[in-house]
Amino acid sequence: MRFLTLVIAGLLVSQFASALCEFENGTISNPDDPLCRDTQLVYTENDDSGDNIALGYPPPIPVDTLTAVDGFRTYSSLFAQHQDLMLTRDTVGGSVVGQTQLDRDIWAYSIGDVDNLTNDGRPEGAVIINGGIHAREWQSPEVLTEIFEQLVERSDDAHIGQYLRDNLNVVLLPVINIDGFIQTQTFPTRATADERQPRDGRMRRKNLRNPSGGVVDNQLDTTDDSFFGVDLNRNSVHGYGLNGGSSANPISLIYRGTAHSSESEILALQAATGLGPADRLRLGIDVHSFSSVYFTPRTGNTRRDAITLGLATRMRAVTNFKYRYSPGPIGSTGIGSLDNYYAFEFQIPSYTLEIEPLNGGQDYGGTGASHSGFVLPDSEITRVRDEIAATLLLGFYRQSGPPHVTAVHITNLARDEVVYAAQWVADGVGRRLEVTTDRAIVPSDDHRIYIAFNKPMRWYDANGNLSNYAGQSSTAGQLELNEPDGLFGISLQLAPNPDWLDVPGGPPDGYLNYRGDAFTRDMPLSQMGLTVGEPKSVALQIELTDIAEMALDADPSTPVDWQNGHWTGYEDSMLAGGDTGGADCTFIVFLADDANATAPPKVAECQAGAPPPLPPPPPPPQPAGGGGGGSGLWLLPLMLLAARRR
Amino acid sequence: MNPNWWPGSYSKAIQPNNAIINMFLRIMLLFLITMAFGAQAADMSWQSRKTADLVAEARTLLDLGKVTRATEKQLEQIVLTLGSRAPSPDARGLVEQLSQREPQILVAHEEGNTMIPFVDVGAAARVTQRRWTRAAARTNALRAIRAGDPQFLQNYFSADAAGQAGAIDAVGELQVQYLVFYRDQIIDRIEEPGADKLAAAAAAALADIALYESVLTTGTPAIALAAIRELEQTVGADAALRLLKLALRRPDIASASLYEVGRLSATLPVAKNLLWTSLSDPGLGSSAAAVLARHADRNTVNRLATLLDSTENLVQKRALLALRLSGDARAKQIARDWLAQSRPDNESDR
Repeated sequence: MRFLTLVIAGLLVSQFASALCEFENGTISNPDDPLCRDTQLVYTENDDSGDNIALGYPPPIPVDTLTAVDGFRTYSSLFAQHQDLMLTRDTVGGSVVGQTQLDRDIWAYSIGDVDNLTNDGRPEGAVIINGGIHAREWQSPEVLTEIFEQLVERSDDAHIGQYLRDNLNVVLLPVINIDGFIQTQTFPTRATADERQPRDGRMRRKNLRNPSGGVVDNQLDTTDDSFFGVDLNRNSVHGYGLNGGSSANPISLIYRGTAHSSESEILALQAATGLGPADRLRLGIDVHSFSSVYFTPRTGNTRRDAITLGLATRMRAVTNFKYRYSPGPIGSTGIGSLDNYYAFEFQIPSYTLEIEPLNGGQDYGGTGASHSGFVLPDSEITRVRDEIAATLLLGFYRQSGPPHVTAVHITNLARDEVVYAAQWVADGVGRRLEVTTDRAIVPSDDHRIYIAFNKPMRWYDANGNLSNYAGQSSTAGQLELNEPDGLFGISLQLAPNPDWLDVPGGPPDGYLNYRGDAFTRDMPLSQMGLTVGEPKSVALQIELTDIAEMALDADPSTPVDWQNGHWTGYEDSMLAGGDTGGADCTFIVFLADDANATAPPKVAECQAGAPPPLPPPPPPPQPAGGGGGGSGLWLLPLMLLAARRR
Repeated sequence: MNPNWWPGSYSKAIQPNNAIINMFLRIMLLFLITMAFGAQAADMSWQSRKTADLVAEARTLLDLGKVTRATEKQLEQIVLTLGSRAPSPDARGLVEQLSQREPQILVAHEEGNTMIPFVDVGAAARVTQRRWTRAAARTNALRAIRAGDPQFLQNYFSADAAGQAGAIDAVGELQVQYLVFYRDQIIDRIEEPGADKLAAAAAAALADIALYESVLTTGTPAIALAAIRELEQTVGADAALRLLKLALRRPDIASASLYEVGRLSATLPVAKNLLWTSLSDPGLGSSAAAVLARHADRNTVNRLATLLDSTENLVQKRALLALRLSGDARAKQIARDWLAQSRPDNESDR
């Protein structure tokens, strides 16, 4: 009878032979029970029998190839690709910043020109991005490698890639948890323990630290160490052990380690920030999968938090907002994760970027088996790489700094003569406006204006046509010429597009440094019937946004930089420092009926940000037979007039 | 069972606490045996149950309307089990109904702060539907190909992804004489969507060089990539090498192809030579370096070391790469020494 009871009990219990782990507060509470620990799970396409888990698509097997394919590259291939890019390209540097538990070198790479100076000789800003901190998240190393490759491939594109090369230092660690990643690739279809919380093999999350002092072995059948390891994304200093987001239990999936920064992999990451160097960092991204969301801490530095939100909005727009946004509580130091480290250590925008899928394998026609979100089908990775690379490229472009006007040329088309030429040049810690030509703009003649910027302002698609960057809509902009007394204004819409220049050569017909960094616009003043009498100084009010929808630095004399979580030297239309920018009104020309007139004192001021001018007085009665409109400047038939912006 | 096998049976003088321990161990052993038997029994219980019973159980769960983790898991198991067998009309109806089911229970993602489905019965049902389509297509294709039906190819190109997959399953099971009939037609239609998959399956079944050539030159990257990995096994090393040289002309699979060349290099010296000549190729050189590093013996390391003095900058760098990637300690030291000599002031590589 006793025997029979045991048999029946065994049969009943064995209904869950694949699920004999017990859980307490999310942690397996019977790790020494062989029925939990020793269960060997196998991921299959369709077989769901026994301890097999059907995904509904073939589980990916790593491929030996340096070139990206419809699949996932082996770690050795990824590493070979990184090393080759470093050894063969001048724009890539690299350093060993630490070692893993198994004493493998952890490399960090710097992508950019060697001088770490911007085009006008100032220290570059830097960004840092890492992947592969959780071993089973295969999307992450592929995405990091893709952006690495694209930055290199684009570095001579005379456009955004070259601009980033010249003006930003990108620090990149493609795989931090190398040991764990290789473990997952050694067992690409196998895991242990419980379908609800699979642990080793393909589903290893943590590093290979064994609390007894050694390392977890690479034998999946020896399961007494399957649950060990430190969750590297709980081991950073800020928020370590706080807010219930980690565990002191070595068995736990989110075991934080014996102390913050106890893990050599995290020390390596910290060392890598020095490649920025650290005081130049402006963005930190830790790439994970899955669930299609940007997690981000809010430090309570309101400007930094607002910039973080704005940047994420632009980046999310690249993929049409299929990635959600999930900020943490304001001021909470978090849970010891890397985004907390980036945010609180450096006061920079920082994200845990959880790559898709949103739900799991069912998003791609799979069964949605538990943890299938970590097993992206081979067929999806090419698209994911491309989408995230485009997202990151925009983020880097935006955090490299806002645009400013660098040069203006105005040509009198009737006389074929440059009548105005000026550019901002470096001058110590600031810039000064160097005006090399300052002759009258004769309102009875047509002119053409050339305006150049410090960065490419417009995107070109794969066919070389002007286009908006994915998800962005750069404002067409406005150009106004404002007379200080408000007696007249000439407003030129820069829509649908001025003639953005994609051939080199500088003014008057070529871009300055990068395709789309300059445009020309005809000014058909002769059609406006203007006469000015006395020479009048006029401010050029230039207002538009760049590829990532950032407005101009309204005062280029104070170069923009980054400090303590916000921009410095980034003035708005009222010339107040902030984080939004505005209209540039620093170029002052003059109008005169006589081409040889002497320039008047430059007193013109920008109308941007100023209260609207009073309406002009009613015209005096015209004498019979009188004509002309010399003083009736307010009667200008402005053929291209648009609403004045204030 | 041999009672002498029981723990403690060899001890003649058993102390009272040892008796308790032995009884405990016997019970545990019996329990473990039962569990082992029970695990198989549980699995067999799903697989051995009749379709009608599974459908009835699912209907009962749905009628009860109670949604728990256990019931959702049960529905998922039923649906997936039905997918492994031919469907009855009732099974089809049930699965069709369930294919519209949204996830009922969400659980916290392990990263926290977001919820994901615990089980997705609807997704499992849709997978089952595709499996049935695939299985039916396989059955039809087996019949058609055995009969030499000229409509087979047209039906294949008209089918959806599951239907094409089923036809390919059939190709993998058939003997050569049935497939030869379609060989030339497949090659003629290689540009059509899905033709590369069929050609790859036929190439493997027939060990056919021409079919492989068509796959490697015009197939989609994923299919071509899968094909190069089976070449040696299906057509032998010499033919595999000739085909891999063809694949090297495609930038999207050239790197993977060089790795396959590397695997042949142990038996084919000409394969090793191909790796060396590829080292100077701007597109292939990095892959050649990685492959040479993987198969590096003493001679390889020596030759790479001499290439560090090459006047060709790219060859020099690729040789350095190979030495650095190699698992050979001597090779790594050679690379370190050379770097130290050539860049004495730089701590980091650039």
